[in-house]
Amino acid sequence: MKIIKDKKAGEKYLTPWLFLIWALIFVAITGSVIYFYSKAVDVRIDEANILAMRIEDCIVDNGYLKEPLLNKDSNFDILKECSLDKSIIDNNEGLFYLNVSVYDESEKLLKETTKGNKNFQMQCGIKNEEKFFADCTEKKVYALDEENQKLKIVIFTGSNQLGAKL
Amino acid sequence: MKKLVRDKKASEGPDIVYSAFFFIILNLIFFVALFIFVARAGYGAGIYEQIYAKQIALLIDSAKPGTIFDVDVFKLYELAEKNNFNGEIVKINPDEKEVIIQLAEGKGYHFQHFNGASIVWGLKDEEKKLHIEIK
Repeated sequence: MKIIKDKKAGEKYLTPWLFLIWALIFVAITGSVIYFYSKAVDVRIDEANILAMRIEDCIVDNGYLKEPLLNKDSNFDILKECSLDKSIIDNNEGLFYLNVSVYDESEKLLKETTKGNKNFQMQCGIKNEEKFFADCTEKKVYALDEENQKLKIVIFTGSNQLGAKL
Repeated sequence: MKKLVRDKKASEGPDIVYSAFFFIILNLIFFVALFIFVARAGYGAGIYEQIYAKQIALLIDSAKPGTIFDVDVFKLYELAEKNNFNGEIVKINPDEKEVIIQLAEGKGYHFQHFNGASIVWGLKDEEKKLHIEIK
């Protein structure tokens, strides 16, 4: 029978590894919890939808497009008419964007109104998984003008307000 | 065959029990501390500050002039009391167009709204509701 001398074993040699494993478990769970709860609740698409809805409600009245919007000579301010804050929306470095385009039956562009951060048009066009790009929505509304001619109104809105992270 | 039993000590028996007991206690302390941390993170003020600030801002965004509504903020009162916070838990800043929710010491959570109309608001402490009028 072979006797091996000075061979050492016992719990005291496993203790540092035990504490190391505990530390790893603690770091993994704590890190996961912090990562999960630091995520912001993303309401950008909801804001974009609400903005589009507010604009649609304000420029289309009973199926008719408000005439001053098409009239080039009028001082139709879409932000004022729709009770939207100018300092928040009409800011090129801001967190919002809107584009209202009016087309006739032959798809000819009659009027285009743009406010806010124009980069959103590009960002939303190429957005895949890039969470820092804006979220946008496009709404197509059909209405009539004063002469009962059909119009197509495309309302494109975007929001990039993520808010602070926890 | 002779049984080789060397250096067997009578005191090794209780040592094993103590070390096992100590090991179990350490494990219990570790997992209880972890559980408390996760539970507190889930029910912390930060989450609710963010949720309520965004919900109220979206409500204001979607409201047209002439709209009047109340928002149930019972949960905010409860959390502020739990955190011993006696300051203003809800504030709507008309200049910055911000909704600010604060449930503990710190700067709270700010979120902007884009409604350009004048907003009249107030907290109904007895009913624990936030009253908002869009004018």
